[in-house]
Amino acid sequence: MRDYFMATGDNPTAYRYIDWILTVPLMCVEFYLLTRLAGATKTLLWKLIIASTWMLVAGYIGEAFSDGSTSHSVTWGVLSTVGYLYVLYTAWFGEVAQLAANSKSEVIQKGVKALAWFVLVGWAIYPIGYMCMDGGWLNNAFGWTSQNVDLFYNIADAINKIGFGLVVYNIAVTESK
Amino acid sequence: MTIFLYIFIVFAFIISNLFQLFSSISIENQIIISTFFIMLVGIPHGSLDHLLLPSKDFKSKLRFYTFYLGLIIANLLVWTFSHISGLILFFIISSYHFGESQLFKFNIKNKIITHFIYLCWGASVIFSFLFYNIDELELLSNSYEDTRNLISNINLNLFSYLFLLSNVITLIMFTFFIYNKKVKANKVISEIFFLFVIHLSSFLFPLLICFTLFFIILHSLPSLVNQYNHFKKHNIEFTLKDFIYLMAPYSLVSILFLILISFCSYANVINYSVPLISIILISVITLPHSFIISKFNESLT
Repeated sequence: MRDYFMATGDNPTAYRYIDWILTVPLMCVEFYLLTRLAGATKTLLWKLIIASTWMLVAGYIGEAFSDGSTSHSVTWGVLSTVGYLYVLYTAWFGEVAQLAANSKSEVIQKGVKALAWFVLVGWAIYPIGYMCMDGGWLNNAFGWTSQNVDLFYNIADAINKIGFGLVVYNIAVTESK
Repeated sequence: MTIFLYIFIVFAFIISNLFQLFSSISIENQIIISTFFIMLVGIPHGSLDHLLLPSKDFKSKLRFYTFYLGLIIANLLVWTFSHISGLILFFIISSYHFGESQLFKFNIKNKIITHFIYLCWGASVIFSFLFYNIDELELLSNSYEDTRNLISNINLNLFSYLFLLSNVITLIMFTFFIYNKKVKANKVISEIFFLFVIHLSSFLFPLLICFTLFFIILHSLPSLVNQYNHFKKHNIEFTLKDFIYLMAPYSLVSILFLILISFCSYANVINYSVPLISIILISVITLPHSFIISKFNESLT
């Protein structure tokens, strides 16, 4: 992505989304793997993967095909957020939360809770970047330019990917003792 | 995160997109939307006060009603004597009430600390609404002579100081709770996140919208759920339909009374403007209501 930026000076939108389309559903797989012992089904896994893919595809259309209008930004932003809210609900109150609550392992309960916090706070940083685009809310209201998009995406990536990985690693180490 | 905070986030998201699509929402529409939701959820949450008080606190219904109406009349007298005193009393009572409704499950043993954190937490919420929307508050208060006179008596910088002070004290106390293991760290972190979301909504939305969102979803709705669970605990066959039927007549009477008073104000029968009379009415009702809810919450812990 750095090379792309150095060569073109453009934001590597497509590369970012190719990265996310692989890594974000994998984060959902981590929810499934954590709760599998408590009875998580493959249906849950697919629901999470579909919701997260939906979130990303809608976000990509909103960003890559933007004509700079507010209606385009809002429409695809809303559609993308529907997917996010589904994952958020599942992690905090839905099937994942219930399976974790029924699990006898305190480590898994704490791990699922930690991952749910990442979804709530960490994933919520991405829309801030999205809304800095031309026609986006932060662009209209505060004049934040599209140059801020990458800044927020990088912060969010650093928090979510490193943090998410560390939580899962911690669970794996603790459970294997 | 609680389910109510999740609902709050969803609604905040919907409203933020509506604002973006329509550029802005007129103050008239904000008043209509806010009034509708306050009547639908806010008023019913206080309509069953007479059924919530533990029976040991009042030996007869007559004593209860004397106490309840006595507090209302006393508060009305304060407002009649001095508007500014009434407003200060309103801030104190509503701060405490909001704080208690949110934090009563902390179940802290020290009474002084408990009262203090309730007050600070509630103040941090109320003054965040005012601090982020101070220009709008001035604009709204200038619409009527009596509200303009009331606000002109206050140095608005005071709101900024109180906002800062209440938030700093709340955060220090939260840190103290974690350090002394008075409350579980994850509970405190959830509350800090809760405060952050309220700050964010106060920053993003106009005064009426952010207050209504908080009052309806984060205050009234959890209170209604607690009340429903209370009745359900005493009668297993109690249904949601029963609960709605139980609340409906009292809520309707309250709404009709509010409409009547507003009409009297509009027709100049009462010498106060609709916004000021609304503040006074909410204030006088809040005092006995917060007392009842305080006792009710005690019975839950």
